Amino acid sequence: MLETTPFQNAALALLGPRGFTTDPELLSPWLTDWRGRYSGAALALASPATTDEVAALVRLCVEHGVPIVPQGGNSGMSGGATPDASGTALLLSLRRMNAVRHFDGDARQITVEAGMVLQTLHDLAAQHDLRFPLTLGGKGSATVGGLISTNAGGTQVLRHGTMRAQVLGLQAVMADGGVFDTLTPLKKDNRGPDLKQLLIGSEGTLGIVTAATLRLLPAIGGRLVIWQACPLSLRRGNCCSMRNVRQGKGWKGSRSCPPTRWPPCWLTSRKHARRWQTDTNGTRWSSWSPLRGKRASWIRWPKS
Amino acid sequence: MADAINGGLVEDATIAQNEGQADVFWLLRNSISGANRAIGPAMQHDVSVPVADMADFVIEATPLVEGRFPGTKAIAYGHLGDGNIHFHVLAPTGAVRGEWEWDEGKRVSAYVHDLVTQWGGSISAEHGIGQMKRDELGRLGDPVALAMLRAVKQALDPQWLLNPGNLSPRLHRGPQPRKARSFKRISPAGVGGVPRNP
Repeated sequence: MLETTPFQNAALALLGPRGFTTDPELLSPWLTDWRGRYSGAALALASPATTDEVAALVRLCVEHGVPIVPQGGNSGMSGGATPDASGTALLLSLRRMNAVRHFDGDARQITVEAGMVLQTLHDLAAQHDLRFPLTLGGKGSATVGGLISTNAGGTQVLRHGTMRAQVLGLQAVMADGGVFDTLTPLKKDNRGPDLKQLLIGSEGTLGIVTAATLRLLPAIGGRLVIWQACPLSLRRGNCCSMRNVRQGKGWKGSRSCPPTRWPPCWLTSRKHARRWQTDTNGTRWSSWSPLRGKRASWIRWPKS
Repeated sequence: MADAINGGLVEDATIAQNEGQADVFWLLRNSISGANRAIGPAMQHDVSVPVADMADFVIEATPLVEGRFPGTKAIAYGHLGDGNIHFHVLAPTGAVRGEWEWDEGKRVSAYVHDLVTQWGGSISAEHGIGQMKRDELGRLGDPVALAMLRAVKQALDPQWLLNPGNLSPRLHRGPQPRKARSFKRISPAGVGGVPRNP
Protein backbone atom coordinates (compact mmCIF):
# COMPACT_ATOMS: atom_id res chain seq x y z
CA MET A 1 0.00 0.00 0.00
CA LEU A 2 1.23 3.45 -0.83
CA GLU A 3 1.85 5.84 2.01
CA THR A 4 -1.12 8.04 2.78
CA THR A 5 -1.08 11.76 3.27
CA PRO A 6 -2.73 13.57 6.18
CA PHE A 7 -5.37 14.80 3.73
CA GLN A 8 -6.20 11.27 2.60
CA ASN A 9 -6.48 10.07 6.19
CA ALA A 10 -8.76 12.92 7.11
CA ALA A 11 -10.94 12.45 4.03
CA LEU A 12 -11.20 8.72 4.66
CA ALA A 13 -12.23 9.37 8.24
CA LEU A 14 -14.85 11.84 7.02
CA LEU A 15 -16.39 9.82 4.19
CA GLY A 16 -15.67 6.22 5.14
CA PRO A 17 -14.45 3.52 2.76
CA ARG A 18 -17.55 3.77 0.53
CA GLY A 19 -17.05 7.46 0.04
CA PHE A 20 -13.31 7.64 -0.43
CA THR A 21 -10.90 5.47 -2.36
CA THR A 22 -7.42 5.67 -3.83
CA ASP A 23 -7.73 2.31 -5.61
CA PRO A 24 -6.41 2.90 -9.15
CA GLU A 25 -8.80 0.31 -10.57
CA LEU A 26 -11.82 2.14 -9.20
CA LEU A 27 -10.44 5.49 -10.29
CA SER A 28 -9.34 4.73 -13.81
CA PRO A 29 -12.76 4.64 -15.58
CA TRP A 30 -13.41 8.20 -14.41
CA LEU A 31 -10.06 9.67 -15.38
CA THR A 32 -10.75 9.62 -19.11
CA ASP A 33 -13.67 11.43 -20.73
CA TRP A 34 -16.14 9.25 -22.58
CA ARG A 35 -14.90 10.33 -25.98
CA GLY A 36 -11.42 9.22 -25.02
CA ARG A 37 -9.89 12.59 -25.78
CA TYR A 38 -8.74 13.69 -22.36
CA SER A 39 -7.04 11.70 -19.68
CA GLY A 40 -5.81 12.81 -16.31
CA ALA A 41 -4.77 11.66 -12.89
CA ALA A 42 -6.25 12.16 -9.44
CA LEU A 43 -5.03 11.52 -5.95
CA ALA A 44 -8.31 9.93 -4.93
CA LEU A 45 -11.99 9.50 -5.75
CA ALA A 46 -14.46 10.94 -3.26
CA SER A 47 -18.14 9.96 -3.41
CA PRO A 48 -19.94 11.78 -0.62
CA ALA A 49 -23.50 10.78 0.20
CA THR A 50 -24.89 14.04 1.56
CA THR A 51 -24.56 17.78 1.07
CA ASP A 52 -23.02 18.07 4.53
CA GLU A 53 -20.33 15.60 3.56
CA VAL A 54 -19.58 17.60 0.41
CA ALA A 55 -19.32 20.78 2.46
CA ALA A 56 -17.01 19.18 5.02
CA LEU A 57 -14.89 17.72 2.25
CA VAL A 58 -14.55 21.11 0.55
CA ARG A 59 -13.44 22.67 3.83
CA LEU A 60 -10.89 19.89 4.18
CA CYS A 61 -9.61 20.51 0.65
CA VAL A 62 -9.30 24.23 1.32
CA GLU A 63 -7.34 23.47 4.47
CA HIS A 64 -4.89 21.23 2.59
CA GLY A 65 -4.91 23.19 -0.66
CA VAL A 66 -6.23 20.25 -2.69
CA PRO A 67 -7.92 21.13 -6.03
CA ILE A 68 -11.35 19.59 -6.62
CA VAL A 69 -12.69 18.29 -9.94
CA PRO A 70 -16.45 17.67 -9.64
CA GLN A 71 -17.88 14.98 -11.89
CA GLY A 72 -21.37 13.79 -12.80
CA GLY A 73 -21.95 11.15 -15.47
CA ASN A 74 -18.62 11.80 -17.19
CA SER A 75 -20.46 12.20 -20.48
CA GLY A 76 -19.45 15.80 -21.17
CA MET A 77 -18.25 16.88 -24.60
CA SER A 78 -15.40 19.22 -23.67
CA GLY A 79 -13.33 17.42 -21.04
CA GLY A 80 -14.73 19.60 -18.27
CA ALA A 81 -14.88 16.75 -15.75
CA THR A 82 -11.45 15.27 -16.40
CA PRO A 83 -8.61 16.27 -14.03
CA ASP A 84 -5.25 17.38 -15.36
CA ALA A 85 -2.24 15.08 -15.50
CA SER A 86 -0.58 16.40 -12.35
CA GLY A 87 -2.43 13.97 -10.08
CA THR A 88 -2.83 16.60 -7.38
CA ALA A 89 -6.59 16.98 -7.72
CA LEU A 90 -9.36 15.17 -5.90
CA LEU A 91 -12.01 13.70 -8.18
CA LEU A 92 -15.37 14.44 -6.57
CA SER A 93 -18.14 12.20 -7.86
CA LEU A 94 -21.71 13.24 -7.12
CA ARG A 95 -23.14 9.98 -8.44
CA ARG A 96 -23.91 8.56 -5.01
CA MET A 97 -26.21 11.49 -4.27
CA ASN A 98 -29.15 10.41 -6.43
CA ALA A 99 -32.20 10.63 -4.18
CA VAL A 100 -35.50 12.40 -4.77
CA ARG A 101 -35.87 14.91 -1.98
CA HIS A 102 -39.31 16.23 -2.76
CA PHE A 103 -42.00 15.80 -5.37
CA ASP A 104 -44.95 18.09 -5.90
CA GLY A 105 -47.22 16.90 -8.68
CA ASP A 106 -49.63 19.81 -8.39
CA ALA A 107 -46.91 22.42 -8.67
CA ARG A 108 -45.15 20.19 -11.24
CA GLN A 109 -41.88 20.42 -9.38
CA ILE A 110 -39.35 17.86 -8.32
CA THR A 111 -36.33 18.29 -6.06
CA VAL A 112 -33.58 15.81 -6.78
CA GLU A 113 -29.95 15.42 -5.81
CA ALA A 114 -27.16 16.13 -8.25
CA GLY A 115 -26.28 12.53 -9.01
CA MET A 116 -29.66 11.57 -10.41
CA VAL A 117 -29.32 10.25 -13.95
CA LEU A 118 -31.46 12.03 -16.55
CA GLN A 119 -33.10 8.80 -17.72
CA THR A 120 -34.16 8.04 -14.13
CA LEU A 121 -35.67 11.50 -13.88
CA HIS A 122 -37.60 10.93 -17.12
CA ASP A 123 -38.91 7.62 -15.78
CA LEU A 124 -39.91 9.16 -12.47
CA ALA A 125 -41.80 11.96 -14.18
CA ALA A 126 -43.52 9.50 -16.52
CA GLN A 127 -44.89 7.58 -13.52
CA HIS A 128 -46.86 10.70 -12.61
CA ASP A 129 -47.99 11.44 -16.16
CA LEU A 130 -45.47 14.24 -16.36
CA ARG A 131 -42.23 14.74 -18.22
CA PHE A 132 -38.98 16.56 -17.80
CA PRO A 133 -38.55 18.74 -20.89
CA LEU A 134 -34.85 18.24 -21.55
CA THR A 135 -33.32 15.27 -23.26
CA LEU A 136 -30.07 14.50 -25.02
CA GLY A 137 -28.02 11.61 -26.36
CA GLY A 138 -26.21 10.88 -23.11
CA LYS A 139 -29.36 10.67 -20.99
CA GLY A 140 -28.44 7.22 -19.71
CA SER A 141 -25.39 8.59 -17.90
CA ALA A 142 -25.71 12.39 -17.70
CA THR A 143 -26.62 13.57 -14.20
CA VAL A 144 -28.74 16.50 -13.07
CA GLY A 145 -25.70 18.14 -11.46
CA GLY A 146 -23.69 17.86 -14.65
CA LEU A 147 -26.57 19.13 -16.77
CA ILE A 148 -26.86 22.18 -14.53
CA SER A 149 -23.16 22.97 -14.25
CA THR A 150 -22.83 22.78 -18.05
CA ASN A 151 -26.22 24.35 -18.83
CA ALA A 152 -26.90 21.43 -21.16
CA GLY A 153 -28.98 21.84 -24.32
CA GLY A 154 -30.31 18.88 -26.26
CA THR A 155 -33.16 18.31 -28.68
CA GLN A 156 -35.96 20.34 -27.12
CA VAL A 157 -34.26 23.66 -26.55
CA LEU A 158 -36.21 25.44 -29.26
CA ARG A 159 -39.46 24.94 -27.39
CA HIS A 160 -38.46 24.51 -23.76
CA GLY A 161 -35.09 26.20 -23.35
CA THR A 162 -31.78 24.92 -22.03
CA MET A 163 -31.19 23.47 -18.57
CA ARG A 164 -31.17 26.98 -17.17
CA ALA A 165 -34.87 27.30 -17.98
CA GLN A 166 -35.69 24.09 -16.10
CA VAL A 167 -33.97 25.01 -12.83
CA LEU A 168 -36.31 26.60 -10.31
CA GLY A 169 -34.09 26.23 -7.27
CA LEU A 170 -30.56 25.18 -6.52
CA GLN A 171 -28.37 23.94 -3.73
CA ALA A 172 -24.60 24.17 -4.07
CA VAL A 173 -21.53 23.93 -1.92
CA MET A 174 -19.33 26.96 -2.43
CA ALA A 175 -15.53 27.04 -2.34
CA ASP A 176 -15.44 28.09 1.32
CA GLY A 177 -17.62 25.15 2.35
CA GLY A 178 -20.76 27.25 2.73
CA VAL A 179 -24.03 25.88 1.36
CA PHE A 180 -25.96 28.09 -1.06
CA ASP A 181 -29.56 26.95 -0.86
CA THR A 182 -32.55 28.16 -2.88
CA LEU A 183 -34.26 24.79 -3.21
CA THR A 184 -37.65 26.19 -2.24
CA PRO A 185 -38.41 28.24 -5.29
CA LEU A 186 -40.20 31.54 -5.12
CA LYS A 187 -42.11 32.57 -8.19
CA LYS A 188 -41.26 36.18 -7.43
CA ASP A 189 -38.05 37.08 -5.65
CA ASN A 190 -36.31 40.36 -6.35
CA ARG A 191 -33.74 40.40 -3.61
CA GLY A 192 -31.08 41.50 -6.03
CA PRO A 193 -29.63 39.40 -8.85
CA ASP A 194 -30.60 35.75 -9.25
CA LEU A 195 -27.40 34.25 -7.87
CA LYS A 196 -28.16 30.68 -8.82
CA GLN A 197 -27.74 31.66 -12.48
CA LEU A 198 -24.08 32.26 -11.70
CA LEU A 199 -23.64 28.58 -10.91
CA ILE A 200 -25.59 27.29 -13.90
CA GLY A 201 -23.09 26.82 -16.71
CA SER A 202 -20.04 27.60 -14.59
CA GLU A 203 -18.70 24.05 -15.12
CA GLY A 204 -17.92 23.44 -11.48
CA THR A 205 -15.51 26.37 -11.26
CA LEU A 206 -17.61 28.48 -8.90
CA GLY A 207 -19.40 25.92 -6.76
CA ILE A 208 -20.49 22.29 -6.58
CA VAL A 209 -24.16 21.66 -7.37
CA THR A 210 -25.60 19.17 -4.89
CA ALA A 211 -29.37 19.35 -5.51
CA ALA A 212 -31.91 21.19 -7.61
CA THR A 213 -35.62 21.83 -7.90
CA LEU A 214 -36.70 21.29 -11.49
CA ARG A 215 -39.85 22.06 -13.41
CA LEU A 216 -41.94 19.32 -14.98
CA LEU A 217 -44.48 19.46 -17.79
CA PRO A 218 -47.54 17.36 -18.63
CA ALA A 219 -46.69 14.21 -20.56
CA ILE A 220 -46.97 14.35 -24.34
CA GLY A 221 -50.38 13.16 -25.51
CA GLY A 222 -49.24 12.17 -28.95
CA ARG A 223 -46.65 13.11 -31.48
CA LEU A 224 -46.46 13.68 -35.19
CA VAL A 225 -43.02 13.22 -36.70
CA ILE A 226 -42.42 14.59 -40.17
CA TRP A 227 -39.32 14.19 -42.31
CA GLN A 228 -39.25 17.05 -44.72
CA ALA A 229 -37.14 18.81 -47.26
CA CYS A 230 -37.51 22.54 -47.17
CA PRO A 231 -36.74 24.93 -49.99
CA LEU A 232 -34.01 27.49 -49.83
CA SER A 233 -36.26 30.09 -48.28
CA LEU A 234 -35.61 28.09 -45.13
CA ARG A 235 -32.44 30.02 -44.72
CA ARG A 236 -34.37 33.02 -43.61
CA GLY A 237 -36.02 30.99 -40.91
CA ASN A 238 -39.21 30.73 -42.93
CA CYS A 239 -39.74 27.04 -42.48
CA CYS A 240 -43.34 26.41 -41.54
CA SER A 241 -42.49 24.21 -38.62
CA MET A 242 -40.14 26.81 -37.24
CA ARG A 243 -42.87 29.34 -37.60
CA ASN A 244 -45.27 27.14 -35.73
CA VAL A 245 -42.79 26.50 -32.97
CA ARG A 246 -42.14 30.18 -32.57
CA GLN A 247 -45.83 30.87 -32.44
CA GLY A 248 -46.28 28.14 -29.87
CA LYS A 249 -48.63 26.00 -31.94
CA GLY A 250 -47.51 22.90 -30.13
CA TRP A 251 -44.69 21.82 -32.41
CA LYS A 252 -41.73 20.42 -30.58
CA GLY A 253 -39.41 19.50 -33.41
CA SER A 254 -36.17 21.29 -32.92
CA ARG A 255 -33.82 19.42 -35.11
CA SER A 256 -33.32 19.81 -38.72
CA CYS A 257 -30.59 20.05 -41.23
CA PRO A 258 -29.63 23.07 -43.27
CA PRO A 259 -30.17 22.35 -46.92
CA THR A 260 -26.64 23.01 -48.06
CA ARG A 261 -24.83 19.84 -47.30
CA TRP A 262 -26.72 16.78 -46.33
CA PRO A 263 -24.92 14.28 -44.16
CA PRO A 264 -24.23 10.84 -45.58
CA CYS A 265 -27.37 9.23 -44.29
CA TRP A 266 -29.50 11.89 -45.91
CA LEU A 267 -28.05 11.60 -49.36
CA THR A 268 -31.22 10.22 -50.86
CA SER A 269 -33.11 13.40 -50.20
CA ARG A 270 -30.37 15.65 -51.43
CA LYS A 271 -32.01 16.30 -54.75
CA HIS A 272 -34.72 18.17 -52.98
CA ALA A 273 -32.29 20.44 -51.30
CA ARG A 274 -30.61 22.13 -54.19
CA ARG A 275 -31.51 24.30 -57.05
CA TRP A 276 -29.01 24.51 -59.78
CA GLN A 277 -27.93 26.91 -62.40
CA THR A 278 -25.75 25.66 -65.18
CA ASP A 279 -23.36 28.06 -66.84
CA THR A 280 -21.94 27.81 -70.34
CA ASN A 281 -19.10 25.56 -69.22
CA GLY A 282 -21.55 23.10 -67.81
CA THR A 283 -20.53 23.91 -64.27
CA ARG A 284 -23.35 23.84 -61.85
CA TRP A 285 -23.78 26.66 -59.40
CA SER A 286 -26.19 27.36 -56.70
CA SER A 287 -27.76 30.72 -57.04
CA TRP A 288 -28.38 31.98 -53.61
CA SER A 289 -28.44 35.60 -52.89
CA PRO A 290 -25.77 37.75 -51.30
CA LEU A 291 -24.88 37.77 -47.71
CA ARG A 292 -26.27 40.58 -45.62
CA GLY A 293 -25.46 43.39 -47.98
CA LYS A 294 -21.91 42.26 -48.54
CA ARG A 295 -20.43 41.30 -51.86
CA ALA A 296 -22.59 38.79 -53.69
CA SER A 297 -21.26 35.34 -53.09
CA TRP A 298 -21.59 32.67 -55.68
CA ILE A 299 -20.94 29.35 -54.18
CA ARG A 300 -19.46 26.68 -56.31
CA TRP A 301 -20.72 23.23 -55.59
CA PRO A 302 -18.79 20.06 -56.21
CA LYS A 303 -20.11 18.00 -59.10
CA SER A 304 -22.15 15.14 -57.82
CA MET B 1 -48.83 20.46 -43.93
CA ALA B 2 -50.72 20.78 -47.18
CA ASP B 3 -50.77 24.53 -46.76
CA ALA B 4 -47.05 24.49 -46.19
CA ILE B 5 -46.42 22.51 -49.35
CA ASN B 6 -48.80 24.64 -51.41
CA GLY B 7 -47.23 27.72 -49.97
CA GLY B 8 -43.80 26.54 -51.06
CA LEU B 9 -42.48 26.24 -47.55
CA VAL B 10 -41.93 22.50 -47.86
CA GLU B 11 -40.85 20.71 -51.02
CA ASP B 12 -41.23 17.15 -49.92
CA ALA B 13 -42.22 15.43 -46.72
CA THR B 14 -42.96 12.07 -45.20
CA ILE B 15 -45.16 11.71 -42.17
CA ALA B 16 -44.54 8.85 -39.77
CA GLN B 17 -47.59 6.55 -39.83
CA ASN B 18 -46.88 5.02 -36.46
CA GLU B 19 -44.63 5.26 -33.44
CA GLY B 20 -42.16 2.81 -34.98
CA GLN B 21 -41.65 5.02 -38.01
CA ALA B 22 -41.43 8.07 -35.80
CA ASP B 23 -38.64 6.41 -33.85
CA VAL B 24 -36.86 5.56 -37.10
CA PHE B 25 -36.94 9.21 -38.17
CA TRP B 26 -35.34 10.21 -34.90
CA LEU B 27 -32.86 7.35 -35.19
CA LEU B 28 -31.77 8.74 -38.55
CA ARG B 29 -31.26 12.15 -37.03
CA ASN B 30 -29.43 10.82 -34.02
CA SER B 31 -27.12 8.72 -36.20
CA ILE B 32 -25.52 11.64 -38.00
CA SER B 33 -22.78 12.03 -35.42
CA GLY B 34 -21.94 8.33 -35.50
CA ALA B 35 -22.09 8.26 -39.30
CA ASN B 36 -19.58 11.08 -39.44
CA ARG B 37 -17.30 9.30 -37.02
CA ALA B 38 -17.45 6.11 -39.07
CA ILE B 39 -16.07 7.92 -42.10
CA GLY B 40 -12.86 8.93 -40.36
CA PRO B 41 -11.30 11.50 -38.09
CA ALA B 42 -13.23 14.74 -37.80
CA MET B 43 -13.20 17.96 -35.86
CA GLN B 44 -16.57 18.71 -34.33
CA HIS B 45 -17.57 22.26 -33.67
CA ASP B 46 -20.54 22.98 -31.50
CA VAL B 47 -21.11 26.59 -32.49
CA SER B 48 -23.97 29.02 -32.74
CA VAL B 49 -24.75 32.09 -34.82
CA PRO B 50 -27.82 34.34 -34.84
CA VAL B 51 -30.78 32.24 -35.97
CA ALA B 52 -31.45 34.33 -39.07
CA ASP B 53 -27.84 33.83 -40.22
CA MET B 54 -27.64 30.07 -39.76
CA ALA B 55 -27.98 28.95 -43.35
CA ASP B 56 -25.95 31.87 -44.65
CA PHE B 57 -23.16 30.92 -42.30
CA VAL B 58 -23.15 27.31 -43.46
CA ILE B 59 -23.24 28.37 -47.11
CA GLU B 60 -20.35 30.78 -46.64
CA ALA B 61 -18.19 28.85 -44.23
CA THR B 62 -18.28 25.47 -45.98
CA PRO B 63 -16.29 26.47 -49.10
CA LEU B 64 -14.00 28.70 -47.02
CA VAL B 65 -12.99 25.84 -44.75
CA GLU B 66 -12.74 23.30 -47.54
CA GLY B 67 -10.71 25.71 -49.64
CA ARG B 68 -8.27 26.54 -46.90
CA PHE B 69 -7.72 22.94 -45.85
CA PRO B 70 -7.73 20.91 -49.07
CA GLY B 71 -9.20 17.46 -48.82
CA THR B 72 -11.39 18.23 -45.86
CA LYS B 73 -15.15 18.07 -46.09
CA ALA B 74 -17.40 20.21 -43.99
CA ILE B 75 -20.72 18.76 -42.85
CA ALA B 76 -23.05 21.04 -41.00
CA TYR B 77 -26.14 19.84 -39.25
CA GLY B 78 -27.87 20.57 -36.04
CA HIS B 79 -30.69 22.33 -34.39
CA LEU B 80 -32.33 24.47 -37.00
CA GLY B 81 -34.27 27.23 -35.39
CA ASP B 82 -32.14 27.77 -32.29
CA GLY B 83 -28.95 28.93 -34.00
CA ASN B 84 -26.92 25.89 -32.96
CA ILE B 85 -24.86 24.32 -35.74
CA HIS B 86 -22.74 21.22 -35.39
CA PHE B 87 -20.11 22.12 -37.91
CA HIS B 88 -18.09 18.96 -38.48
CA VAL B 89 -14.99 18.97 -40.62
CA LEU B 90 -13.96 15.55 -41.88
CA ALA B 91 -10.25 14.91 -42.31
CA PRO B 92 -8.78 14.27 -45.77
CA THR B 93 -8.71 10.60 -46.72
CA GLY B 94 -5.68 8.89 -45.27
CA ALA B 95 -5.48 11.10 -42.20
CA VAL B 96 -4.47 9.17 -39.10
CA ARG B 97 -7.02 9.12 -36.30
CA GLY B 98 -5.50 10.47 -33.11
CA GLU B 99 -2.86 12.49 -34.95
CA TRP B 100 -4.74 14.63 -37.44
CA GLU B 101 -6.98 16.02 -34.72
CA TRP B 102 -4.06 17.46 -32.81
CA ASP B 103 -2.24 18.78 -35.85
CA GLU B 104 -4.22 20.16 -38.78
CA GLY B 105 -7.42 19.60 -36.84
CA LYS B 106 -6.37 22.26 -34.34
CA ARG B 107 -5.84 24.77 -37.13
CA VAL B 108 -9.19 23.85 -38.66
CA SER B 109 -10.89 24.48 -35.32
CA ALA B 110 -9.15 27.80 -34.82
CA TYR B 111 -10.27 28.87 -38.30
CA VAL B 112 -13.87 27.79 -37.75
CA HIS B 113 -13.93 29.60 -34.43
CA ASP B 114 -12.54 32.71 -36.10
CA LEU B 115 -15.35 32.59 -38.64
CA VAL B 116 -17.99 32.06 -35.98
CA THR B 117 -16.65 34.99 -33.98
CA GLN B 118 -16.69 37.19 -37.08
CA TRP B 119 -20.35 36.33 -37.50
CA GLY B 120 -21.15 37.38 -33.97
CA GLY B 121 -21.62 33.78 -32.86
CA SER B 122 -20.44 31.63 -29.98
CA ILE B 123 -17.66 29.02 -30.08
CA SER B 124 -19.69 26.91 -27.70
CA ALA B 125 -23.42 26.59 -28.19
CA GLU B 126 -24.31 23.76 -25.85
CA HIS B 127 -21.24 21.63 -25.10
CA GLY B 128 -19.48 24.11 -22.85
CA ILE B 129 -15.85 25.18 -22.66
CA GLY B 130 -14.17 22.63 -20.40
CA GLN B 131 -10.50 22.15 -21.14
CA MET B 132 -11.16 21.64 -24.83
CA LYS B 133 -12.05 25.24 -25.70
CA ARG B 134 -10.40 26.95 -22.77
CA ASP B 135 -7.61 28.52 -24.78
CA GLU B 136 -9.93 29.37 -27.65
CA LEU B 137 -12.19 31.27 -25.27
CA GLY B 138 -9.15 33.16 -24.01
CA ARG B 139 -8.13 33.95 -27.56
CA LEU B 140 -11.51 35.00 -28.91
CA GLY B 141 -13.55 35.96 -25.86
CA ASP B 142 -14.51 39.55 -25.19
CA PRO B 143 -11.85 40.99 -22.83
CA VAL B 144 -14.48 42.69 -20.70
CA ALA B 145 -16.45 39.47 -20.31
CA LEU B 146 -13.30 37.50 -19.52
CA ALA B 147 -12.31 40.05 -16.89
CA MET B 148 -15.75 39.71 -15.30
CA LEU B 149 -15.43 35.94 -15.35
CA ARG B 150 -12.08 36.14 -13.61
CA ALA B 151 -13.34 38.62 -11.06
CA VAL B 152 -16.27 36.37 -10.15
CA LYS B 153 -13.96 33.38 -9.90
CA GLN B 154 -11.53 35.29 -7.72
CA ALA B 155 -14.33 36.41 -5.42
CA LEU B 156 -16.02 33.04 -5.03
CA ASP B 157 -12.99 30.75 -5.13
CA PRO B 158 -9.96 32.79 -4.01
CA GLN B 159 -7.71 29.72 -3.86
CA TRP B 160 -8.73 28.62 -7.40
CA LEU B 161 -9.37 25.11 -6.17
CA LEU B 162 -12.62 24.30 -7.98
CA ASN B 163 -12.18 22.49 -11.29
CA PRO B 164 -8.81 24.03 -12.14
CA GLY B 165 -7.85 24.29 -15.78
CA ASN B 166 -11.41 24.55 -16.98
CA LEU B 167 -13.55 27.28 -18.51
CA SER B 168 -11.12 30.16 -18.79
CA PRO B 169 -7.46 29.93 -19.74
CA ARG B 170 -6.13 32.01 -16.92
CA LEU B 171 -8.68 31.10 -14.30
CA HIS B 172 -6.61 28.27 -12.91
CA ARG B 173 -3.43 30.31 -12.73
CA GLY B 174 -4.90 33.18 -10.81
CA PRO B 175 -4.69 36.81 -11.78
CA GLN B 176 -1.75 37.47 -14.04
CA PRO B 177 0.53 40.48 -13.62
CA ARG B 178 -0.03 42.91 -16.43
CA LYS B 179 2.71 43.08 -18.97
CA ALA B 180 4.12 46.53 -19.55
CA ARG B 181 3.23 47.53 -23.07
CA SER B 182 6.09 48.36 -25.31
CA PHE B 183 5.55 51.13 -27.80
CA LYS B 184 7.97 49.55 -30.20
CA ARG B 185 6.11 46.28 -30.51
CA ILE B 186 5.18 45.69 -34.09
CA SER B 187 3.95 42.27 -35.13
CA PRO B 188 6.13 40.37 -37.60
CA ALA B 189 3.36 40.65 -40.13
CA GLY B 190 3.48 44.41 -39.96
CA VAL B 191 0.91 46.94 -38.90
CA GLY B 192 -2.74 46.23 -39.63
CA GLY B 193 -1.94 42.96 -41.31
CA VAL B 194 -0.13 44.68 -44.16
CA PRO B 195 3.21 42.94 -44.71
CA ARG B 196 6.25 45.09 -44.21
CA ASN B 197 8.73 45.47 -46.98
CA PRO B 198 11.31 42.71 -46.84
